[in-house]
Amino acid sequence: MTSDRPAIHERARALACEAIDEALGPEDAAWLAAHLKICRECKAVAAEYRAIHRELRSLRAPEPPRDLWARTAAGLDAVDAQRSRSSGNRAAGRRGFLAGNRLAFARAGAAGLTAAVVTLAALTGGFWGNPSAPLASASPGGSGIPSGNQNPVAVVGGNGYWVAPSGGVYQITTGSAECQDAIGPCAVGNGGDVVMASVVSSSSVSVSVAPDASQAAVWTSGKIVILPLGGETAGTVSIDLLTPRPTATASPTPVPTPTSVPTPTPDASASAEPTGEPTVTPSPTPSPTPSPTPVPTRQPEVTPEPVAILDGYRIVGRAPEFSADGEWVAFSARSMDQAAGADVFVWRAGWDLAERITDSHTALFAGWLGTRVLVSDFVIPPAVEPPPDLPDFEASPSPDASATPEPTPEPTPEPTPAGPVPASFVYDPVSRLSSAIRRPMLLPSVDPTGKYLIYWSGRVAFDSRSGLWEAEQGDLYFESWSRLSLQPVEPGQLAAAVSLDSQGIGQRLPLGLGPGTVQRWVVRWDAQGRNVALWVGDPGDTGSGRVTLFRVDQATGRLEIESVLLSAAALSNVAFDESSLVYTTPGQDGTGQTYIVPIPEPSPTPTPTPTPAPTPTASPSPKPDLTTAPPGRAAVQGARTA
Amino acid sequence: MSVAPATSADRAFVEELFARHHGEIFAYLLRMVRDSDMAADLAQDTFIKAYKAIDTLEDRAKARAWLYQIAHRVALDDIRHRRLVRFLPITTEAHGAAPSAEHLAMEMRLSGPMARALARIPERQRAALLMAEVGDLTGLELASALGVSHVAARALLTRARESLRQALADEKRQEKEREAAIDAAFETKSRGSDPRRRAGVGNSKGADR
Repeated sequence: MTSDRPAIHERARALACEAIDEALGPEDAAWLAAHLKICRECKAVAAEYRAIHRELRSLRAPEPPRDLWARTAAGLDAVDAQRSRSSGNRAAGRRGFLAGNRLAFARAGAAGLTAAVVTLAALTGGFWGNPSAPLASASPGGSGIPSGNQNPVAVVGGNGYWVAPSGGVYQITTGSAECQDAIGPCAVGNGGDVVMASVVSSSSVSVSVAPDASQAAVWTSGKIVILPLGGETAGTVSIDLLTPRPTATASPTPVPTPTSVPTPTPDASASAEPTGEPTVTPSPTPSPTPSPTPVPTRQPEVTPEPVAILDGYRIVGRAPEFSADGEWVAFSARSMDQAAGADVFVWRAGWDLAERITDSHTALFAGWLGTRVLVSDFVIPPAVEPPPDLPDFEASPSPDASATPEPTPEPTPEPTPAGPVPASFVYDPVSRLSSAIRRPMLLPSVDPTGKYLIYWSGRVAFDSRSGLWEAEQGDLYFESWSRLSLQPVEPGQLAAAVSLDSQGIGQRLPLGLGPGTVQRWVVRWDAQGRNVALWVGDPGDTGSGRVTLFRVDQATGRLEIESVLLSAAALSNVAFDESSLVYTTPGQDGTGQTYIVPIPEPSPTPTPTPTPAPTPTASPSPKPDLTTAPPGRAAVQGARTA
Repeated sequence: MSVAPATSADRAFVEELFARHHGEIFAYLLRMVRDSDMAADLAQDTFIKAYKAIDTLEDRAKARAWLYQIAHRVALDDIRHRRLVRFLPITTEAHGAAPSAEHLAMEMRLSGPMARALARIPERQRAALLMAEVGDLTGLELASALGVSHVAARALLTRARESLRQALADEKRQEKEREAAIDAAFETKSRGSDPRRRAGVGNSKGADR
C-alpha cells in the first residue's frame, strides 16, 4: 500500500457521496468509475451510501399533531397582540409572555385530555340545549358528509333517540338517559326503549327531531316528510308511498316566482329578534313596504299524521332544522332529476307543502336566526369599491355595554377572489323580506342569543359530482353580529350588496390542519351563547373529524382561542345541553363512545366584569373546571349504529 | 432582538409557509430530537420565530431553506439545553415513560438500527443528512440552512454519510450479536431443561446402551 492510498479511497468515497446528490463532472465520474472497478471496498461503501440514501428517501413523513396549527396560530396571534401593545422596548416582557403562552397551550392540551374522560354525574332535564337536534346525522355546513343513519343518538329532555333499522324498518326509538352512579358510565336508551315511529323506505332514512321531540323531519333520498312522534298514530309509515297532497290550497303563501331572491324591502320583522342587531343600511331604492306580519307566539302545531312536504328532491348541505319554536322547518334540497341546483325551502306547521324561497339554484340553508332563515348563496360581485357611507367594519350601538367588542386589531383582508364568492342573507318567511349580509360569508351560524356568529370565508369551487358550490380553501371566523351591516336587497341584488373589502375581517379560528384547510364543519352553540363547539372534518370524506370547544369572552366579544377547553376526535354529531357538551368518538362498526362533558364555568376574573344581559336560564350549579378536575371515567354509551 | 412591525401580508406569508412546510419541518425536528411532543413544540417555535424575524428574510423565494435554518437552530438549542440538564444517568428501567428505540423508530418511520444509528452521529451531521435526504434540500439550500458555504455543506454531508454508514454497520453488527446471544441462551436453556437430555434418554445411542 502506498502512502497516497488512504487519500485515494477518501476521494472515492467523497465522490460517491456527491454522486448521490448531484451529477459529477465528467473527469470525476470517470475517475470514480475506474476506481470502483478495482476497489471492492470502496464499491461496497458506495453501495452502502446508496442504500442509506434509498432508506432515508423512502421514509414516510410522520403525522404532525392535529393541534399544531391551532397552537401556532395562537402563538402568531400572541406576537400580533404583543406588537400592538408594545412599541419596541419591552423585550423582557415579550419573552415572558411567550413562555407563559406556551404553558397555556400545555394546560389546554391537558384540559382536553381530562375533558375526554370526565363523567357527568347525572343527566338532568333539558339535556339537549340546541333548538334542534339532528338525530340521525348532522351534515356539516356546506358540503360533505352524506346524510345517513349514524350514531350517536340525540337526546331531548333526558330521553335518548336513535334510528334503529330492523328488517327493513327504521324505528325511531327513545329511551331514558340514565347514569348508573356518580362516576359510572351514563347510558342512553338502556332498556325500556319505546318506538316512537317506524318508517319503511327502500333508501336510507335520516331524521331531525323538533325541539320538543313531538315531531321529526324525516328524509330519504328523494322525499321529505314531517312525522309525528309517539302518540296513537305511531304506526309504520311507508315513506316511499307517501305523496304530497294533491292541492296546495292549505299553504298560506304561494310558492314564489322561480326567478328571484326574495323581495327586498327594509327589514321590519323586529319581533322576537335577538339582541345586537347589525346595522341595517336602507335600500338605495326602497320598495313599498308591506305591513309586517307579526310572528304568532303559540305552541307549534303538531302535524297529526305524516305529511310529505316535498317529493322528488334530495336534501343537500345541512340537515333540515326546526326553528327554535318548533313551528318551522328549513332545509336546502335539489331536484332528483338534477334539472336544477340547490334551493332553500321552508315549511310551517299546518302547511301541506314546503315552500321554495330561493330560485338561484345555488342556495343553501345555513341556519335559523330566531324565526328568520339564514341562507347562503354564491355570487360574482361587481369589482367596485363599496360606497364610503356603507362601512361594514363598524360596530353599531349595542344595548349591552359588556358585549360591545373592541375593534379587531389588524384586520387581514383577503385577496379579491376571481370566481364566485359566498354571500348570505336573512330571510323572513312571514314578511318575505330579505336583507343581505354585506360581508361575504358561507353558512353563518348565529348563537341563540343573537350576539355572535361563526361563518366560513374563503375560496369556493364547484363540485360537479354534487352539483354544489363547496368550500375549497378557507377558514372559520368568529364575529359579533352587531358588527355586520345588512342591506335590504331586491331580487338579483345580492351580488351588489356584497362588499369584498370586508372579506377576511373577523377573528379567524385556528382549526383544521393549517390555514385555509377547513372544508367541512359543524357549529354548535350552547343556549346562552357562552361556549361554542366547532367540528371540523378530516381531509377526505371520512365522516370523522375533530371537535374543539371554545369559550366566548363576553367582555371583549372575542373567542378565547388561546385556551381551548376541549379538543377531541369526534363524529360530526356534536351537541350541547345547557351545561354539557355531547360528542361521539369515531369507532369501527358503531363502537364509538359518546362522551358527556360538563362545561366549566369561567374562572372569576380579578376585575369585575359586567354581567352579560341575556341569561335566560342560569346554570344550575357550578361545574368543575376541566383544567383542574381529576380525570374520571368516561361517560360511555354503546353508540347505536343504524 | 427587536420585534419589527409586521403587516398582514407578512402574517399571510408565514401562514402559507406553515401550510406548505409544517409537515416536513415537524418531521425534521422529530428526527432531530426524537420526541414527538418536543418536536411539536419546536415546530411551533420555528414558525413563531419565523414570523418575528420575517423582516430578515431577504429573498422570499428562499424561504424554505430559511425555515430549515430556524428549525435547525431551534433543534440544536434544544438538544444543547437538554444535554446540560441531563445530569443523571438515564436507564430504561428508571424512565419507564421514556419511549423505546422501537417506539421512536416507528414514530419516526425508521428501522430500529437506522433510528439508533442516526441518534449516534453528531447533531450537525444528522441535521445535514436529514435536510438533504429527507427534506430534499439542494446543496445551496443546505448551505443556507446550515449557515455555511456550499463546499463546507458538501463536506459535512459527506462526513455525515460516512458516520451514519459506520454507525449503521455497528448497529447491525450489535444486533446480530444480540440475536446470536439470545439464540445461544435459548439453546442452552432448552438443552438444560430437556429431561431426556438430563437423564441421558432420548438419545438413540444412550437408549441403546
